[in-house]
Amino acid sequence: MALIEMLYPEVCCLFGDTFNVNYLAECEPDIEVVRTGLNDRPAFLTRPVSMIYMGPMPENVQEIVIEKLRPYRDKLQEMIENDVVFLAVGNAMEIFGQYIEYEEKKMRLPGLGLLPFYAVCRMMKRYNSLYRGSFAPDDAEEIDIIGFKSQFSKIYGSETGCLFKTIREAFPEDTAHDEGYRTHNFFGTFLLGPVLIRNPYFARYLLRKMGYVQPHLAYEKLVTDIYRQRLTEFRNPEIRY
Amino acid sequence: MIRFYLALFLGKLSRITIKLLHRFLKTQGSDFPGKLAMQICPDFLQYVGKPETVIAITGTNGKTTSTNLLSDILEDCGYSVLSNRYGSNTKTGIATCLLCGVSLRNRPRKDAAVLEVDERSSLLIYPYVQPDWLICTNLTRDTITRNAHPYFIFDVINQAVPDKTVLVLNADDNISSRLKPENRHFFYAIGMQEDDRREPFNLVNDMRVCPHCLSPLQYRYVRYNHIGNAFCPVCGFHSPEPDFLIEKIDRRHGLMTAVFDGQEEAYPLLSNTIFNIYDETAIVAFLRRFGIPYKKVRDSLVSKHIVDSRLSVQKNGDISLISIMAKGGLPTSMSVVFDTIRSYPGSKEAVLMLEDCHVMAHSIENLCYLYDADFEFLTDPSITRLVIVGPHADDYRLRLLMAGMPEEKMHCLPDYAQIPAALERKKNQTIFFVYDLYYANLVKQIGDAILHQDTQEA
Repeated sequence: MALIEMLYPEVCCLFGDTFNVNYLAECEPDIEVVRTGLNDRPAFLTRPVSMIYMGPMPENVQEIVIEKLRPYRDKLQEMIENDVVFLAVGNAMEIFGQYIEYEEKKMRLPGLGLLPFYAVCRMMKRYNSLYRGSFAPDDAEEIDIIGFKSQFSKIYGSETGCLFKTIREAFPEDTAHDEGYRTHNFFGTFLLGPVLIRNPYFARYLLRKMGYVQPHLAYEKLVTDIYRQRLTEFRNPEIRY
Repeated sequence: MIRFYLALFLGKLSRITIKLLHRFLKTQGSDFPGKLAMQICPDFLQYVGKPETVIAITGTNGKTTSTNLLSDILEDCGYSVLSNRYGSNTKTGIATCLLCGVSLRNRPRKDAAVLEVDERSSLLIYPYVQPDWLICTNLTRDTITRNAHPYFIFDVINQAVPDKTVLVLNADDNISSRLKPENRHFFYAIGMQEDDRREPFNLVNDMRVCPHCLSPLQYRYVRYNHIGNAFCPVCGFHSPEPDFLIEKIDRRHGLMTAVFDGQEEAYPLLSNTIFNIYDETAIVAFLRRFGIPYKKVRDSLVSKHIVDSRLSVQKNGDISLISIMAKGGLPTSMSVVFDTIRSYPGSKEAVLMLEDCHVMAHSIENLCYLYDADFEFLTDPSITRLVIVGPHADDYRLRLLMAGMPEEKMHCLPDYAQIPAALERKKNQTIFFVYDLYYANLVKQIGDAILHQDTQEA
């Protein structure tokens, strides 16, 4: 039985992304989901977890979340190095980096320092784009990745560990920057959708990483039909990103 | 200043031209005069004359309804009112409105300005227009591509509003009620009603934890999302005490009873929907705080009605069709509509035609909002059939399956032509047709097709 710990879902719950975890739980009904609140002691301290999940949050919450996790920094580092699966979506990923620079406030917030990148947040410049890329799993053929981006910040210094190789995104200068970050089984991405429902084969890959030998996909025919239909649309060169 | 007066003159001239053209083209108001004026003089908003009283109205929902209602009542009370009700609520719309309200010598011609202000544009408007009053209806989730989340909009408004502005705020909204804590405030609220829920019931609630100690908040009553009266059982944080309170809503008799300055005041209820009741409350509260006597406000309201242009009812024999517009991409709006459908008495069918065809013409719609909207409400057993229309109907189908909707209750159609055939249309059953704004011109056509096929016996 796998355990997914959702960190701070009462505040890290923007853009419908909690359904990433809902979907995984429907894929394998023996998955237990623990929702750890801001004032709760994390389950990962006392129980073996298969996945730590954190979703996007309002920017003014990032400082609170960093301070809540800081006492457990060493434990989190140990878990990352021991290949526990982490999925950090949207600006949740930034928590684990070196720092977050808030450009308009001229303020730099130290992150947990577990990963090498840093983030720059520009609140007056919302970045919206469709996204198409690819993911190279270690044990299988490449997976096409699609999704939506809607964010105030971008990460820099992640070149050594990009998660998805960008094929097309809204602004030409960004095609040189691949998406997200990966190290061991830490997966961080700005892609929304929710990303696992939009990309069922990537969801299956994560379930394997969580220990499922032959993972099931919930609503497999429907979710893969939708994925293939969307992929055709995303591949259309006439579509404006 | 030469540049300003040139901008004023040319702006007014362009407005006359456009008015003449509108008579022939039958188009709505244009921002062009304001756009032109600001191109000639970028500081136009700063220099253009303003009436003695400037009231701004902002918020996620209810701006237009509130602006129209307030403008009408102030006029009834003898004020000459300048308003952007026919124009846009961004800076060029505000500029257009203000230039219409001054003479060529830049002298204001009206007593008051009632300005609907797009919340995202606050930083571009308030530093220059400097409202005396700001009414904020609420801050809830909006389109993610533009407005991100309520706390972003909160920060934008909070930075922009001048210190001198008196804020009229919804005490039942624990996000917007915390705007500009150092300014003078006047709070309104709708007190607990018999049919209120005591616990949050939506997927989305952007105020689950205490802003002081982060403990889970509890609610005395909840209207939708985070709108309601909340308190923290640990540190004592609570929703602000209202200065103007609606104690009782009597939908049967079309009345609402308020308490203000220790006195009971009864007002006509202009609408039965909670969104509109909040809008009316905001305006009545403002008017009373502004100093308009109770009887004048009450008498003016008697002749007013809030036309819910988003809802229409048609009947053909035993079949009723209720068409409701739900702003696509807005999970709050969708959830309220879904809640309305499930709460409606009797059995019903529903048609959802919500995809944004404007975006789809050249791009792909970001459907993240499906996972913030309460599709779970549509699994109510009183809803016997659900017809989903659009090229991405399967996305809705997947979301509904995850909500617990039985597969056999759903029918997906690529376009609207097949809607009537997909419905059961049983006798004495209500059909709900929920559509996105961009399908408004098709509503009558589709409604007629639904109503005028042969009926089945229940």
